[in-house]
Amino acid sequence: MIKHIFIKEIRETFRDRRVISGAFVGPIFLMFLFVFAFGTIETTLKKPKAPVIHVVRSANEPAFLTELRSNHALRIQEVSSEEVGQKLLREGKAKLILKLSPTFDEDLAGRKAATIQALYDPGEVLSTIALRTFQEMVNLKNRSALDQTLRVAGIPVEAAQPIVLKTTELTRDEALGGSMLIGMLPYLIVIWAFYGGFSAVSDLVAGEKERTTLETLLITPVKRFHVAMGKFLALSLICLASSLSSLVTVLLIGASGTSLARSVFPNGMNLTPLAVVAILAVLVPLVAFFAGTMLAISAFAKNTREAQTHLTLLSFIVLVPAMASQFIGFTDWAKDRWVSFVPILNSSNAIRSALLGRVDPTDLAATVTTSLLLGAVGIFLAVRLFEREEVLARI
Amino acid sequence: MVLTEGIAKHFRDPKRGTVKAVDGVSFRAEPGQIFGLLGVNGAGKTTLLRLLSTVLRPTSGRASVAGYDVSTHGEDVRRSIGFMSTSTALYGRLTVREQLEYFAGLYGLKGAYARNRVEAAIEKLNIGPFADGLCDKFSTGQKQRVSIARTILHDPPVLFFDEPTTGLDVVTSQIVLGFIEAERRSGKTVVFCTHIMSEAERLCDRIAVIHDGVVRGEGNLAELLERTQKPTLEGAFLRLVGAEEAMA
Repeated sequence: MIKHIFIKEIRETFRDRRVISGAFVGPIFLMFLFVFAFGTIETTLKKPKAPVIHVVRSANEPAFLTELRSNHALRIQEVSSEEVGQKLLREGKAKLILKLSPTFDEDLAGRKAATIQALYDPGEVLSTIALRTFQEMVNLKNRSALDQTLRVAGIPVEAAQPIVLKTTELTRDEALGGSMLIGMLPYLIVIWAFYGGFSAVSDLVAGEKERTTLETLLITPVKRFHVAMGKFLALSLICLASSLSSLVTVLLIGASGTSLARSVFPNGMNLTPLAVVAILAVLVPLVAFFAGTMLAISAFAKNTREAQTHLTLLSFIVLVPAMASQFIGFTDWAKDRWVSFVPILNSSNAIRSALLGRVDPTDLAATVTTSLLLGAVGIFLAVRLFEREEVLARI
Repeated sequence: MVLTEGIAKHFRDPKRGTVKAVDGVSFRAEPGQIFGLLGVNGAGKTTLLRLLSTVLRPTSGRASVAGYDVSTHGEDVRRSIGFMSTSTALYGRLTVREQLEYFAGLYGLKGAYARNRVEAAIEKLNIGPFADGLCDKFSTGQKQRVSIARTILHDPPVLFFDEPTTGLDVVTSQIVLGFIEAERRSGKTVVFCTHIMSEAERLCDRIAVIHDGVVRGEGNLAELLERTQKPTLEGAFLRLVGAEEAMA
């Protein structure tokens, strides 16, 4: 009987355009949008444009400035005065204003400190980048001068740099490692497990009360437990399918081999079967938790409007831990055991680990157990509400 | 047969305190008979039918439907009844056929027998031309015919009708009333709730006038007229519910 109700609910729900739009078009479209946005940012960062640097015009152009003009890492533009430069900087039309001392060439030739005044806006990222780029050039120039001085004095160049730091990047077989999406993807997978069902659940019980089809159902010989379970399983499937649609979209884009895919997944897509199993193991009890809770709310509400109000409040509770998962990678908490017991955050973190190809059986078991327990509470609540006449019969 | 003995349903309302929606109602409806529950809106008719169909549990008293106690044999009661009212709507995103197949399954009908029952109901109510259309797109009359088909799908011995002609045009109302008469002829026990006097006069073998959850009078039409010394059912009804003084 549960199967009979489940099939009807699925058939009816999938004919609802709101559900198709909310549970499938939404996550797929948003995932395309995210991938495109991240791909564009990634490409932009990898091919930085030479920053434009404004230099206050002087009567005699110093030789250093002429040298800078030939450097393709920078583009030099002149401003008539320091005030004009400041104005441009305030308006965001300039990133860095340089003013070379009037005696720049003489000071350099006389082995005195030749001063360059740099004016930048620390609140603007591009201004800071322009300053750093210019600073590197100054450092190179200083280094070259120092090497020259040391050579003339007969001192080995290495004497000025007694400690040498050599860095080597650790290569690991991470599934989606190196991708900017890795922080965002678990969050999206988790919230679509909730929002996918959001579009369907208010119609499943509160909507049936409103349209009075629930009474038609309650006068049949079916047990209310079976009605609740049929609806619960249908809702769980919608939640799971919605969540997986976002993941599958990303995987398909990643596997497409396009330049966009290469920029978003620089290390390729190496999602192992174990990682897929781990993600499913985390998602199934999570959707049971979401579906049970949402169904209980829908059963409690008098109509769809009331159901949606309660569900919107619940969505904030879901969003906070899901969003926290985006930033957990910046802390050591991601490896702490307690995270595995925090609902929603644990699932998101476990999915993130699986996407990175790291599956910790203990963390996974703790996450799955926590979600299963909460899922059981959600189902229990929903079934209890279905068996209370004052809840189902109040119209 | 439908039998009630002092059945009552009391609700707790935060504003009004205890509300006695049905208060000690007793009646007996026999097979091959249409038993009418006549009352104004809010008299307790629908609550009484919800008690008999086990959607609600009685606060006190007893009732049995087709020999099954409503408090202890809910599933058997529901298997034995067909319920049609304006509050038993259809699923708008299912076709007629899908709808009937779904309810056939809920009533435990299986395989070829279920398919035959569905086709028989479609033929009986003449809904074949739109059997594969989504119910959302139907007129009220078409929906009501589908509702009737759903009601008789499992061939129940007891039928409950709760103001089944509300919102229907004259032609469709006549189809519904004709159908109810046909079910009486086939030996079904019919409980018919209405506030329309002409329908009660035309259909009911016995009538219980219900007001404020209490039966104010019961009998066949002649008995009610004689008891109230009124020439019409309308007059008898107004006297029984104490509305004459208010209207004077």
